[in-house]
Amino acid sequence: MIENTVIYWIILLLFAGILATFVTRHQGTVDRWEEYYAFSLAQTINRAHAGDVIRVDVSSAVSLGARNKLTDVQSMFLINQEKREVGIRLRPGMVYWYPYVRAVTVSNWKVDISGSASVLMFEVQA
Amino acid sequence: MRRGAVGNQLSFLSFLFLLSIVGVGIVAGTLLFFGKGTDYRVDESVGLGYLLEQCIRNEAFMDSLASCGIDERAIGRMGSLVSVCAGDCFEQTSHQLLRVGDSIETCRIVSGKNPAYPGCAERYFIHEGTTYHIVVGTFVGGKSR
Repeated sequence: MIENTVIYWIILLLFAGILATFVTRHQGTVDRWEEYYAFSLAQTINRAHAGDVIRVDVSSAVSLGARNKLTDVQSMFLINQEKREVGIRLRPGMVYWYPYVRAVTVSNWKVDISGSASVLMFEVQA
Repeated sequence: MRRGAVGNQLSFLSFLFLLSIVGVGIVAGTLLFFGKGTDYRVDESVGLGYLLEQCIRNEAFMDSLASCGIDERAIGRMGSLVSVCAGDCFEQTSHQLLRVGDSIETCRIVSGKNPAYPGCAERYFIHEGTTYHIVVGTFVGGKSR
């Protein structure tokens, strides 16, 4: 009788563990934030005028990256001007790239962490 | 086989059945709730349509994407479809000012969550007495690599 109960408990714990792993992996919080930031930054570049200096509060993304053991804040926000893409990396490994369509030059791309908030700054030029 | 053993097996099977029902419920709920990611194709199309409208209103439009400061290669990589017309793009009487991609008509037929079809957005506006119709469809957005 006791043996049976132990077997039931082992199966139940295994089952709970597998489900917990599945739910955690598919929760996708980091994926969604990467997509959200990349899309929003691409749209910001698309709608910017030449000479605009853009400042975006990216504190949430930086905290999320730090939680995923990323220490280099500058490497969380990338731009590839050759392919016209904005890249966001909030977890080790993959970078989520989203394209922008405006034929503009983006300069002074950097994250300022000197203040209380982390701010991504860049300048859009024709 | 003793009756007790049969009872044990039955209760074990009931236990497994109960677990499988709970498991299927949680897996289905998770997949339905979180899905496969956010679909930005329609938003992308709306944004591109807005850029083209601003371009026409600012008198910069010269029948090409480049005249609006839009990179045609980037549009090509995104697989976007663009049609700008004086009049309704889906009517034969309209005057087509710009067309990128062959299958803009798919926007007339279907648009939505199916990744095989573009996420489309349309925009009508009047500028200096002319009614313009802009149709934009986008197939792909971002990707991880």
